Amino acid sequence: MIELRSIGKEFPGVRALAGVSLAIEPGEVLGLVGENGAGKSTLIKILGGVYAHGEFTGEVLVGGTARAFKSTRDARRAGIAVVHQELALIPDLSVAENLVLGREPTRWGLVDRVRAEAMARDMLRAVLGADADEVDLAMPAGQLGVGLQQILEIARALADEASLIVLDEPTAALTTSEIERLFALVRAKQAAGTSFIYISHRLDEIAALCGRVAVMRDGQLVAVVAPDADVVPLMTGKELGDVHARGERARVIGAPMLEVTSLSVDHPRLPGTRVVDEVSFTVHAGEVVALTGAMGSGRTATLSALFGTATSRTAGAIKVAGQPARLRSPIEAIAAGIALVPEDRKGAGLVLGASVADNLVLASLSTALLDAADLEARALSRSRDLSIKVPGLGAEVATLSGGNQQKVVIGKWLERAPRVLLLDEPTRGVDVGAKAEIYKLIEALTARGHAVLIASSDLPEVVRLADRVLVLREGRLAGSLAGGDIDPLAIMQLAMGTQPGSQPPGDTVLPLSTKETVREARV
Amino acid sequence: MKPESSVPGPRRPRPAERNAWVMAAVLAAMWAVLALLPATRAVFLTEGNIATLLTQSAVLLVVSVGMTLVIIIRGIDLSVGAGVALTGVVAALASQKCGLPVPVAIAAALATGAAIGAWHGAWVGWLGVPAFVVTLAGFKAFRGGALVLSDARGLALNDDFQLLATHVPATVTWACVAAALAIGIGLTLRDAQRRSAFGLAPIATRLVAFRIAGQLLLAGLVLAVFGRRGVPVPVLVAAAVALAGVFVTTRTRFGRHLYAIGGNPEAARLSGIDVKKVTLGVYVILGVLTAVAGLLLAARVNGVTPGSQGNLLELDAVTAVVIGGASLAGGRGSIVGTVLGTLVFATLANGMNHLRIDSNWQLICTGLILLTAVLIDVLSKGRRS
Repeated sequence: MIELRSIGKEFPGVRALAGVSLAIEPGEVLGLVGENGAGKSTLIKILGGVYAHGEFTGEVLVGGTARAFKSTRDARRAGIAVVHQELALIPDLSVAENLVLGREPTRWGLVDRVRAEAMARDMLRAVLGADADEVDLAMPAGQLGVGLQQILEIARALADEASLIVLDEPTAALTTSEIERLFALVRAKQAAGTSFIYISHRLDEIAALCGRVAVMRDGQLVAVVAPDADVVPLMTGKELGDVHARGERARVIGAPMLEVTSLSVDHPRLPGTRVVDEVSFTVHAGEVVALTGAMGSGRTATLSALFGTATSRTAGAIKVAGQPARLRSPIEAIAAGIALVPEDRKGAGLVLGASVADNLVLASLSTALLDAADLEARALSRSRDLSIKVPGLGAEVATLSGGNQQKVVIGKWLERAPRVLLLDEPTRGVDVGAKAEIYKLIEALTARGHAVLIASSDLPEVVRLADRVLVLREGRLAGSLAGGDIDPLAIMQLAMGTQPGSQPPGDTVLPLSTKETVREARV
Repeated sequence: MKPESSVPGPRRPRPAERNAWVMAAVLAAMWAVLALLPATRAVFLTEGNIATLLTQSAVLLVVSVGMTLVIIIRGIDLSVGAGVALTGVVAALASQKCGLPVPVAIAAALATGAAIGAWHGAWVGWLGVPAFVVTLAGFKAFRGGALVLSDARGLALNDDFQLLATHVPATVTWACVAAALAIGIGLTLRDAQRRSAFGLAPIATRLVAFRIAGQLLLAGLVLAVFGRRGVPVPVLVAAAVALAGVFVTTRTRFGRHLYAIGGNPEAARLSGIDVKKVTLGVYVILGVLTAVAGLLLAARVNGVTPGSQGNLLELDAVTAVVIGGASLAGGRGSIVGTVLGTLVFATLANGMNHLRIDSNWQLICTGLILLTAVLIDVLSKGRRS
């Protein structure tokens, strides 16, 4: 049994955790939920030895004895493995090399590469069963889909014979079939006595997998409840229903702002195949159109083509506000009145080390000489507009929560008043409260006549926001739904290519670890 | 949890600024020690010695300002020393062999510098070759070019170049200082006034007074050293370059784009910043400044030794920039920090000369200072290892 006793942790000026006590039984799957910034990650870092003993107050007990981890190695040796959201694989090493990293079999002091590969194969089989043989062990790990990368990490944790495995938002980037596989794995290992802490924003997953759910808020453990309990009020004091209630649909749909005709994008590496294939659609002023579909269906690739960042050949005609537009670079796209809020907020949306104010005005420095007072006034009114919660505009944007960071990215573009706003997974990794605010923000934008195109894999989000839904499947437009026809089941059926009333969608998703998954990593 | 509010609090100093204060304190401490030590008491804090110290650091400062911009965008330029030799050779040949007037020779040298910069910028920005490799090639090739053009012989300079190594008259010195002071104080007051025009929280009167007092103090120091004899041209040029650098990095869009590119090139590109053009611009600026340094150095030593002129200047510049708080990982650094870093570097050399420390030991000390400066920086950032 692993136990945390009155854990407290302070950062300069911030109390991240206070008096958290929690015990995890062998063979238990414990759900851990809370908004971003509630203290989940800090707690996990203490458990996993990222914060050394002495950097926090309280005790970590393994099998009844207090342990003082000085590093993640110590925690691993004590049987605690953490699979972080940011995966810790080395992208340029092969799958096999990553799996055996730190436990390379040697022969005469040299790495025994044959035995290493066999070892890697066995580790993978322990996780994936027969499917393990479909994975190319020599492929650089960085080229695998996120789902497979996650599975490599779990394989490593299992090989360490961890008694407790912490999974931090493991399904954020997984397809339905990958999620099923992960769940099956967790259940099998649970039966064998391994315990898990399962952190997720997806409450249905928590309910499906966990025996108990620990809820955190503001650095404290507020409750441990049954998995079917309604935890949202505990997390936030708000009802989930509020967040996902469809907004009023009294929108004025205006003139076409974005007209896309026969858009195609070649596959970056496989000649003769396309990631987007002859897709046509229109987005009007005042309208939210959602692009959805399974991973690899071409959602992100479509947005890339519209923002001039596609890395392979694109074809098709695009009109912005009735004018034909050539979009070969972000500069041209922005000049045409298009803005993109990218999926990878930290890697592509923000200059993390720069201040909130600098990020807010970055895309709208209209004069060669800067007027500091004007910039600060603009940043200030924008941050108030969006109610971005910060200690000060000079604070590094890296210190903000995910939801507030996302507001900064959106705010950066509002400074330019774009005609067409493209948002790629706008609320990924954003807590429930901020999600609702971002939804309201998007609706306020359309009310002002902006055209909004969202790429999202989050079905409740699509249903909540979209006036029209375009469903992509393998790069092609599989169908579109509008108004009252928009519902999750219909979207799934289009995305999976199943006829209404036939098999349930969960059984017909693409197989894992085929080229599809691999392809997604580069799309 | 976090002290959250949507009302911005006081602007906290950026890491680069914090580092600048630390370096200023280090510099002041070094000067105080040298002013008090029995061995250097009589000589260090004299008009003549400070003038020498500043004149000797002028060439390094000119290059370091350009190097700061390059380092902010995650680049580096290892060819600066070779570029100094090449541009010096171009100036000498243009005036001596081709008989061109000195201003034309100077223009030729500057154009050569700009071409070097454009060459680097094109390779780094458009072809995507790492700056380290591109400029390492330049390190070899430009030195070779200087040797080829000069037939590997030392070249003398036309006497007219001596203008670059003399003093400007005292009256001109006073006028320059007064002009700089007027601009500085004017901008400080205008900033404060414009903030209230935009309804922003005003800058405390104390802070405005403090900034103006700092500028007056700086002007007073300059006049105390150069007020009677006039400021040497290299120092004047270096000061102008540094002030222009401060202006560009803090008050222009180009400057803001540098930090964005260095901080996150992908986010910068997706924000509509023309990363290639900015990269080109930065390397061209450094190229031109390399030529300026080449001219100043050639004038000071009255000739060009193509095989050794400017040797290792690039690494001294990187040292000064890093001591000044810039990060080789990009996105961080300031011209003020670089000026302080250069002065720390020059003071160290000057002080150790007076203390009769062997030049070989001076190298060891410089290395240790570099490590110490970066260590201070790492420690002040806390656990971010």
